[in-house]
Amino acid sequence: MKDNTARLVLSSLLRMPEKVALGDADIILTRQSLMANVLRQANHLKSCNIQPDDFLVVTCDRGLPFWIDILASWVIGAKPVCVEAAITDEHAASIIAMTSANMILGAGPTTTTEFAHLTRINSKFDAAFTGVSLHANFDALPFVDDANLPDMAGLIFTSGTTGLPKGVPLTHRALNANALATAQRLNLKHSDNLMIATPFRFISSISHFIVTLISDAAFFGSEKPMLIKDLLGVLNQLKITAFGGSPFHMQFIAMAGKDRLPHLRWAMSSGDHLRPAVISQLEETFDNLELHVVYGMAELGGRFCELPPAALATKKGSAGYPINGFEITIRREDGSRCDINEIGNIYVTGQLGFDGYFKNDKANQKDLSDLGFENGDKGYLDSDGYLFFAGRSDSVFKRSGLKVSAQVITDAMMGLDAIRDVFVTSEENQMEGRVPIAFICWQDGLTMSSSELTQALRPILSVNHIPMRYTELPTIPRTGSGKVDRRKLMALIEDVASSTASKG
Amino acid sequence: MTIETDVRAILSNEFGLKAADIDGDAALFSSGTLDSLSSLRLLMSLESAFGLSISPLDVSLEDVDSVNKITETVTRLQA
Repeated sequence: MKDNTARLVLSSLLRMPEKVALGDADIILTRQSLMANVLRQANHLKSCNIQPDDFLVVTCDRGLPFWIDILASWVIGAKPVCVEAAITDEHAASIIAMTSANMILGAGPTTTTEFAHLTRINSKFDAAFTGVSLHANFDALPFVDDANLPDMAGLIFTSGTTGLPKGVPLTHRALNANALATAQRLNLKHSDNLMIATPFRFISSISHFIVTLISDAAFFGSEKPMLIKDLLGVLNQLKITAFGGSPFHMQFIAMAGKDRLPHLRWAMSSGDHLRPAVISQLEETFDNLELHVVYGMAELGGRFCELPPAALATKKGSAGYPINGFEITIRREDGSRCDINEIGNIYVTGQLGFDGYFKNDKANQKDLSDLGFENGDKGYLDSDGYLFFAGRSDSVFKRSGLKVSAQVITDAMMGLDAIRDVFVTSEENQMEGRVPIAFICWQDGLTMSSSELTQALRPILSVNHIPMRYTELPTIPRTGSGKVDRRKLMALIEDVASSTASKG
Repeated sequence: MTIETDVRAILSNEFGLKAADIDGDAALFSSGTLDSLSSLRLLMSLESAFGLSISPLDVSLEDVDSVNKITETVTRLQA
């Protein structure tokens, strides 16, 4: 029997019929209401002649109906293509070309005209709708026959930091296996109310959604813009006991402490390295907060490594060890295995390993080989098999939890008339993780102020890609092959700094 | 220089917005012009420009969602 992820999630709701299933700051859905809404939407999709194996564009940024639509699509065997409402024309056009999708689910507006010709299907969502009974609603679900259930459960996309976002196929098998293995490690209780504040189309959000419901806990999520104070208010309003967020969120959870978040007993950090200082602060400001540090990737269908609370004291700074179904090897540039504690490229293999990007031979040739999936991070394994990060293989880093590409910034800056050469790198920033900084050589006779540079870059770069500071240099030292000579660059920066200081 | 002028200068210098053209009531964060992660940089810039001490735990989106609201918040914190 094939494992439809919708069946895994929805059958778990039957165990505790009285509990809340999901909600946000404005709407709460009981398990009966969630089941009834999924049943109604699945029947609606069938009435629109959507067939098993059809791709359906599903938009985010419209709250809880997203989850109803995902579950309903899975019930009938359709494959949701999860996208943000503010999608670019180029990305939207590539999705249509790749999937031949001809329907879009979700009433919200999108920024692209590329979806204008798609048939729009409304989400029939009503929190007050409960149907007959929880069990009757489940029994009436029009699950697709196993023979017609496609392996693929849908398509999500990488961040597209270095180009067009890459499509990552999700399979029912991998989603289910990953969620079940992750649930064993995360130890959520049925009394927990878990909240996330990340875009629902992220694999982290999808994993939280599945894991929370199969753990018999209640899931809360918000995609509305919120500042930290607003987030703390919602966490208290909903009596949230478990919070899943990025290291960016965790530093404020740590600042708030038990006094301002009296209900919180569990937290999970994912998406980037959680600094040991933040872990220490969480230990100080909470009594017995159960903190899980997790490493996940879209390509791996959810979670990949987890550092359990019991190991925090001895393995602070580690990303933990693999979830069941994954194996990690660290390899040198020539492909040979690194020794213990030796930094190298991270490769992932195993039963739940990555099978490849969707219709993207170029990316697959780059990232996949007989050695496994090379995930782009560098790291090392200690003698106990715990993984520690040592940065990215390329010049991609995270600022406030969002990926930033030094190459994208470089390309944008080199497009400015005043700039002759530029080198973009990153530096540690206490509040934002890593931030981009730029070293600039001006064209003869031209110059710009920092403010003018920022204003010139803003129309072509996202806010997170705007460098934190600019440093003028007479030249960017390069090797014969054109690569930046970092040793000479550092020496030059020191010279310029000491010269500036002596003038000052 | 008024507080509003300085606020517009920060939005221009830090985020590259054409601040002189922004309607004082136009939403910054809830419209998506700035993402919520940028709020920290805004608060640090306000601290630096106006000599304030602002905890991110004490500022809501409502306090900084437009030029006028930021100006009001700075005025209130200076009082």
